[in-house]
Order: sequence, then C-alpha cells, then structure tokens
Amino acid sequence: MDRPFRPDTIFVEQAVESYPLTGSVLERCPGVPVVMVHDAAALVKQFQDDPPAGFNGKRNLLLCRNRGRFLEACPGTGRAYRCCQYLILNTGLGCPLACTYCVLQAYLNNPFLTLFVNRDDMLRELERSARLAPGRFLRIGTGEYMDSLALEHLTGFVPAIAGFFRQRPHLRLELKTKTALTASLQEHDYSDVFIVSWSLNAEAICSGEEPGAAALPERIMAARDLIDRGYRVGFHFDPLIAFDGWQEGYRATVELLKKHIPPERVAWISIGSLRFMPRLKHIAQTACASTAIYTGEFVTGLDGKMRYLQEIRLELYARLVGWLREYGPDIYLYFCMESPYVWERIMGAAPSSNWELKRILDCSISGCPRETCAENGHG
Amino acid sequence: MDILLQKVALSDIDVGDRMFVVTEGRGIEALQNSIAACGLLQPPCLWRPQADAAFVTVCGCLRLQAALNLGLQGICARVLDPATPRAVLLACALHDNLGHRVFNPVETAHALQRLLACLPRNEVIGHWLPLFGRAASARTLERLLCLCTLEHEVRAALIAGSLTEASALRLGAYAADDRRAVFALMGHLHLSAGKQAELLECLEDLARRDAVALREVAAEDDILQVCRDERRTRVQKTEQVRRILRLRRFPRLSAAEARFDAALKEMRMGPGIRIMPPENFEARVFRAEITFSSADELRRHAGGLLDAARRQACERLLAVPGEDGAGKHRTEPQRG
Ligand code: SF4
Repeated sequence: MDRPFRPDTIFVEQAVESYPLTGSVLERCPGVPVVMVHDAAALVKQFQDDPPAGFNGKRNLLLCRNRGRFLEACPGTGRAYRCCQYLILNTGLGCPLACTYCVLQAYLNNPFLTLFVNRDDMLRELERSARLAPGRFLRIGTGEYMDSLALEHLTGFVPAIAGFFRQRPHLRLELKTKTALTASLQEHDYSDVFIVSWSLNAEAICSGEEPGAAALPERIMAARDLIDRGYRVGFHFDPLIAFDGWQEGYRATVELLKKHIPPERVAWISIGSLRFMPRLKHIAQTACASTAIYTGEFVTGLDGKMRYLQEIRLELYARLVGWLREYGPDIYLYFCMESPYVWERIMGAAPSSNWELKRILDCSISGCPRETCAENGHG
Repeated sequence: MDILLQKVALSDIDVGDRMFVVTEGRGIEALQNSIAACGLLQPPCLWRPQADAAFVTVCGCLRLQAALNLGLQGICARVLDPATPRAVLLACALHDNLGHRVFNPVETAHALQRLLACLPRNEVIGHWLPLFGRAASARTLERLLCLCTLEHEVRAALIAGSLTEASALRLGAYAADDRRAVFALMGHLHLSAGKQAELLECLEDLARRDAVALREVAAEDDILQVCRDERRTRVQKTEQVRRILRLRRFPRLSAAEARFDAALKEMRMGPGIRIMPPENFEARVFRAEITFSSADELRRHAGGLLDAARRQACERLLAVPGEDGAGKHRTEPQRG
C-alpha cells in the first residue's frame, strides 16, 4: 500500500459504540463519515442482497462484535494435501489490498471490510484455548481473512496484544503481510513475540495482481529493517503463478532475497501454487477484467479446488526450490496444501502426517531440536 | 377502473400497436383451432386513449390475431376506461398472463423495460421481479435488461430454447462483433446447456489468455473449416470443434493424455483389460480393470496384464514429465 488505508465511510454497530477499539479507530480517522447502525448483520444482509450502485465494500469499514469464534483451525482441505495445522485468529474479515486471486472474494459473504472490536472476548477465548492445550506450542496467524498489518495504523493491534503473547511463550503469533506498514513493530522490540512474514511473488504478479500491496522491493526492505531490529521473518511464495516469464520472475525475486535478507534470519519459507474454488474465477474476473491468471491449465484437485496440472506444479516447485536451496540451504521449506507425492518428488520426503509438518514448523520457530521435540511436548 | 363488455369491429383495433403486448414467441395454431371450433370464449381486453382513436390491445393479442386469421369481422371485448393510467394497463396485460404461464426470459426483459418506463425502479425490483419468479435484486434486473439489447436472432434462439439464458447473458456481455462471431459458430453446432457453457468459457479463456478478440478465437481457420464441412453432421462438428478448442486451451493436459494413450497402445493389451489414468493426472493412482467370464479367461487376462506391466512402455505410462531416472524432479538451480 502506498498510503495507509483510510475508509470512505465507517459503519458502527450501536452496541459497540463505547468499546475502546471503536473509539481509537474513529479517532484515527478524522473527517471520515460515520454511520451508526442498529444491527450489523441486517446491514450486511442488505448490502449483500442489493448493493447500492458504485458500492465498494473494501472502502467501507464496519465496526462490530464478533459473535462467533475468534480462533479456528486453518480450513486446510481434505486428507489428500498436507496442511501445517495452523490456527487462525479472526480479528476481522475482508482486506483492502484487493489481490485478484484472493479467495476471500468467493469465501466471504460479508461485503464490508469488517473489524471485530470486542478484543477482550478475543483474549478470553485465546486464554481458554491455551489452557486447553497446556504446554503445547500453538502457531497462530491473523493473515487469513485480512492482511495482518493493512489496518494496523487504525487498530494498534500489535502493541495491544503483545503483552498477552509475551506472557505465553508457547503461543506464537505470525503476522502475515504484503505491506510495508511495520511502524508499530519498529517502535518496540516484539521480536520474542511475533514472527512477521511476507507473501512474495514475481514482480509482474506483485504489480499486476496485488494492486493494494506494497511493491516487491518495499516488502523485502521492510523485512530487512525488522531483521536489523532483531526479528526473525518468514516468507510465503504463494500463490505461484505460471505466467509467461515465470522463471525469470521468480528467479529475480529470489535474487532480491539473496541480496538483502540473511538466510539465517529466515524462520521458514512456504510455497504453494494458485488454487481456488471453482466459483472464484467468475467473481474475480468480474471484479478485475484484465486478470488472466485463471486461464492457466487448472484441473479439479482431490479437494474439489482448481489447481495447476500436477506436472506444471512440479515444474514450478522444482525450479523455485532449487533457487531457494541455493540461497539458504538450511531454511526450512515447506509446501502449503500439497500432496505427499509432490513433497516426495521435490523435497525428497513428505511429512508423514499433518501433525508431523506442524511439529517441524513448531521447531523451526521455537528453536527446539526437531529430533527430540516430540518428547518436549510439541505437536 | 371501469370495464365495459362490448362488441368491437376488428377493423377498429390497431393490432400493430404493441404498447401493452407482452407475449413473444408463442404459437397461434392451437388457439386458432379452438376459436374456429368454439368461438372466442375469453374476450380480449382493449383500451382507447380517446373516443375517436383506434382500440389498442391490452390483453389477448394472440386471440385477436387468430380472429383476424379466421376472417372474423367483430368480437366481444372488455374495454377499459380511457382514463386508466398506463401503468395499470401494463399491469393488467402482465397479470393476465402471469396467472397461468411462465414468461420466457425475453418477455420478462421487455416487460421489465416497460415497467421501468412507468414505475419507480424500487417497485419494479421489489414487487415485479418476484412475480416473474426472479430474485428481487438490482443485479437481477440489470442482467435481464441486458437481454433487450441482443440482436433479434439471438433473442429468437433464447425464446426457442436453443440458447440458454445463461449463455444469452454471457453473449450480452460481449462486444457486438464478438457476439455475432460466437453466435454464428454456435449456430453450426449442436450444444446442450452444459456444452454451451463449456464452449463459451473456453473461447473466453483463450481470448483472455492470448489477449486477442473473441471473434478471432471463434473464427480460427481450423474451426471454420470444420463448420463448413458439409459431410459432417452437427454432432460431429460439435465434437471436432470441442476437441480443437480443448487442445488449444489445455495443451499440457492434452499432451499428457496423448502420451498415456500412446504408451497404452505400446503395451499391447488385448480386449478384456483396461488401464485408466488418475483423474486429471492428480492422484497418481492408476486403475486396471479385467473383464472375464471364466477362470480360464481370468488367467489369460491376468497373464496379459503382467506381460504388459513388464514392458518399457509401462514405465512411460507412469512417468511424469521432468522426472529423472529415479523418479525425482530436478531441483538443482537452473538459469531461467
Ligand atoms: S493480502 Fe491476502 S487477504 Fe488481502 S486481498 Fe491479498 S490475498 Fe486477500
């Protein structure tokens, strides 16, 4: 994002008017029109059924309570593909970055950019979950239903939640972003609390398909800046896209990493190729007439999602993994939602189960030796 | 609203004025036979803007046309008060039909267009769309209105049922030249609803991928050649065009299928044995099927299958492009 996001209008559910987070968001958006609404669910339904002409949900912020769960398991699909058993912390729904491949376009039925302001409820639920799994390492992330940092300047989420996580070292929060909005992480040292990770792609994809995100070099420089402040970072090459010139494109991105990011400060790199629910194609192409990413050779995968033909995925992965191994031979590389067959072909071996993959990743973060961690209670 | 039942000379009715006529694409023959046999049982509904003006049809345009065809001179009609507002007349015309039949999409689109000319948009969306069996949303209204802009022959195909509403809406989003070219191609083929969707999606994907106009994709030489081939039936043309487009849209998948078929052929398995690839080459699970009716036949086929499995071609059948001899993908850094 060139400039931090500023909504066109803020809709506030009456019941949350007095919540501290509501107050601070409104304070940080002076001059933005505010509309009080009695019932957020009714408002969402109304705009979903019949959005007013020209309405752009990504420009309209809704502040309301989360009446459901804050913490949920990553919706990794089926048994055919390995999933790292990540936990998702729902701080809100929707994202202003508007990536053309974003699954949220088909996944969410709420057209508003929504922030849940009942943060105390969120912390209580986190506490309960942590108590249910005593001593177990839990990797939690906020970047699933929204970029983790895109609204940080409005929410102050990082400083507000850092203390909670610092007191519970077995909970580790990943902030996953495509922005360079790291001010709150620079102001204080939270390197023992958060892992910050960036989604990377080839320059052509970053500039063409991620219109609201920071340019690729900005992301890498933001990562470098946090590394210099003592943080460990992660990267996600996801979604890989087989566009004309992908080899040069991804190679150049790895070169940028090589130039600016010391590999020993990288906690992991995940890799995944574009996959999507069939209905996303129409929705995304309607939203962005110029995108051509859905015209690749996609077939229906074992989980019903569209994926590149396996031989194309193998080709993408083989090249990228080769370059990444050259860059950082000791960095833990893993696939997001890939089959054991693909793991074996590219990495030489597949985690025997989702739990095994979780254990390896937990170790990469906690620093505990992989060979013994099963006894130490990880996984 | 006053309605008078009166005798009206057919010559006093301006049947060319279709301001309130909402029926499109319906046959008249059965109705004509019925009127010939029993007379006009249901009087049409007419309206006259002024006392000296010709009557305008509100309900019963087909009945009037049938009466004219049968050479009747006059009919008994219900005549509406000249002061009746146009919105009410249109509502009468619509309700006369809505009660007993489903409107085709073109009729619905035209009716909505006329309703919008005399009623607020919200009322058309909230009240009328559900009466047509449609969702009460602005999006539905916009989509249906787009059907009004289609060329006559496209609308006719939609009314006739040879074109689905979904396909017509898709065509409606194309530039006029593209639409004409794609519709012309469809005219050569025999397409079920599913195949229409498949064809349009494939053409759209190819145009988008290769950054060319849809009309260029639809009028490639090989496709035109198939369409012009008089020796082929429409069904054969359809299958050939689908094959050409699939090969273009999915070159790697098609090549994988061709490799599989070639390897299978080289394995020289007789009848009674089938080997099937994984679906979309995704799961890496192949299936072999033996059909037999005696123990002897089973032994023979099982032997044949084992022989085939020992052939070199079997390795090729199972191979994934890009693998080295050990079945691994090469991951050493390579210059792009
Ligand atoms: S950053 Fe992530 S959540 Fe936001 S639009 Fe892009 S893909 Fe979606």
